[in-house]
Amino acid sequence: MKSMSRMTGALVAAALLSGLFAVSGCSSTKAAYAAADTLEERAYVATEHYASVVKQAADLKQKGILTGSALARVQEIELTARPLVLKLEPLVKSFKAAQTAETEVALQSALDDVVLVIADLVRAVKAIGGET
Amino acid sequence: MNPVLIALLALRSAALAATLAGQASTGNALYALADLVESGRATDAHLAEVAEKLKSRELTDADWDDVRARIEADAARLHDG
Repeated sequence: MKSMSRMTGALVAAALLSGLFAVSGCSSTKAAYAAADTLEERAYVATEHYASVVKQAADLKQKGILTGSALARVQEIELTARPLVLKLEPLVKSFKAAQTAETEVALQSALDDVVLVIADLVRAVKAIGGET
Repeated sequence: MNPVLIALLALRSAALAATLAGQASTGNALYALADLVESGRATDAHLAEVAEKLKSRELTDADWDDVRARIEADAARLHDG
């Protein structure tokens, strides 16, 4: 019985470590940003990245894994982030139509803000791993 | 074998072992972590598809409409009581 309990404990520890490393994996995310050659494409990748993380959070909430204060934190970040993310498409259209330095700067600046809020959201979702 | 798949297998095996050993809360926590890893894998897989899309063709208005609709739908699921 003691050896069974020790074995279970060792298995649990190994699984936790490998799980935590796996949660931080993001090779395809980096590949998607690397594949974006233009400002429009970078804005699109950021929007898709945001969409993926929101879907991930919604799925985890539906499974009962994202709950309580962690859920509240993710919801709070999402409410702030969504208008910034949805602003990218109209800024892309303005830039493509006008092709001016002003519209390019506006789009780049908005994209910089979006990347920061995506990072906040990803951190908040990954923090669930520490609470389980 | 993909290291993420190995991690998932390890997590679910450990969860089952813990549950069978009468450690239900540990088992539940490990199942939850496995679900978290799996959802991260799904996110990564989707962005791999986005990378392929960018390499193969130009973006269209339909691409933007589609991602906007998905954000709205999943945000609603996230916030709904």
